[in-house]
Amino acid sequence: MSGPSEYQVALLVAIGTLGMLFLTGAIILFMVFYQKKMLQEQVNRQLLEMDHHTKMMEAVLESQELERKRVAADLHDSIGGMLSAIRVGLTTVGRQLPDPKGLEQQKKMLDDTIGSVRLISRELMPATLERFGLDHALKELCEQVQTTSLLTVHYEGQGEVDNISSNKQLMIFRIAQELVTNAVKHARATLIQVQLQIADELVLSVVDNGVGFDPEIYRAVNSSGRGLGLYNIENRVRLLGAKLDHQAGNHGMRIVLTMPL
Amino acid sequence: MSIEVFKWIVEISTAFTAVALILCLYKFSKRSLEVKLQAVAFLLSVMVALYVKIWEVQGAALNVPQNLYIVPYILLLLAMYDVAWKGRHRVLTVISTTVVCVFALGNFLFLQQDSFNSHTLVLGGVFVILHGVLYYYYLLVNLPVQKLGKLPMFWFNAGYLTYFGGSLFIFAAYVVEVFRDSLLLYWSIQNFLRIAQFILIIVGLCQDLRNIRLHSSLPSAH
Repeated sequence: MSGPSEYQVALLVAIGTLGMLFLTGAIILFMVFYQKKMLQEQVNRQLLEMDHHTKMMEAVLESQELERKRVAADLHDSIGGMLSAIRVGLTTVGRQLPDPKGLEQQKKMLDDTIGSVRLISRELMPATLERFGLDHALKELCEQVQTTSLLTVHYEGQGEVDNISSNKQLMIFRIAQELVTNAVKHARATLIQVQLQIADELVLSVVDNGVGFDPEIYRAVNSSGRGLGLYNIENRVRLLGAKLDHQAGNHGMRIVLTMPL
Repeated sequence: MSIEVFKWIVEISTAFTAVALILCLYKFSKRSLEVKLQAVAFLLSVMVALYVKIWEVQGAALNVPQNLYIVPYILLLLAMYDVAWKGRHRVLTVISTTVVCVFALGNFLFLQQDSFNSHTLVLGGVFVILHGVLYYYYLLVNLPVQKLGKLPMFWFNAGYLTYFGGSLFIFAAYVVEVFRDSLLLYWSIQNFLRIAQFILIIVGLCQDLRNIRLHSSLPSAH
């Protein structure tokens, strides 16, 4: 029995060689396209995770705001109301006493307490923000801080806030509130300037003449769980789709929030 | 095909090997172990080519150095794959190495004593293809880079798969024995595949150099 002819073997070799080359090419092409697909899926997964994270953040901040609103309302309506009633009662009792001046000290303490309750309630949920908008709320915040901290706090506002949703206004207010509080608490400043400019974009700047701080150090402190201020600011900035710049100068700090409209 | 044309093709193939060797040796200390192992393999290849060129006219036995070259060449490639996938399939590499060594010795001593050790090359080729496919699988699972083209090993592997995949049937011993009359043609095809392999390897080596330049231009961490 004779073996295969030279032609048959040549054909076998040609088919085998071409087949192997085709297979190699197919493997390489499959690699390239499959890897691209995998990377695309990885990107999609990351986007989904980011989206989920954003929604979670939104929900956390929303529940935080709701809770603040509830506590503020309770403080104002319940405790504030009761304290006011006690104040009226004390005045009535005072009138019946032979020496009403003995109650003056208690009345003053009660007035201070009522004032503190109102202040805390307003800090928790500024009614001005809901009624008159961001510009007025920021102005009130600065006046309030100036009164309580004895620092000079300037406010300057330009532009209309009408086309910014109330949710966003609240978030911007919270950022400003946190930045001003930080300046008062940590910067050892004597002057704080808050500026709000609204044109093509919203620019909120908080400038102080204090000792300044390194945001990275604060971030590290936050990640260790010792503070949430900057973390909350960054979360709100992310939700607003805004940008926060820290510029440390020779004397103090300049923090600028820029949000496209 | 005339012997002159065949010799020209061999010369071109050797030139590509030499270019790849020079590219491997450039900035040698900064190169990865994969490239260093290939440098040794290419050096062996160039040395064998030079030996053949020098001694062929004097009638010396040309098969012996070529046969001796096959085993270290295959082993260097298998070692390169082992380095590339960080020893994850070392058992396979050790088994492949042992089988190739034992088979090559047996083949050299008993089966293909006087002729080119094509059986050894076929067996080694099968193991290289297996390692190459596994390397791509490793890439798919680990996704080490955003763009595969920026990974030198991707090109090296494409080169070896092209060469060993394409020449597998050509080197089958049966074919070599049957085609004694048309051997030049089949060796030429093998040389074309070798040229294609070296083009892909050179692309990978250039990419490796580009990566080195990119890393050295990055600012230091200190």
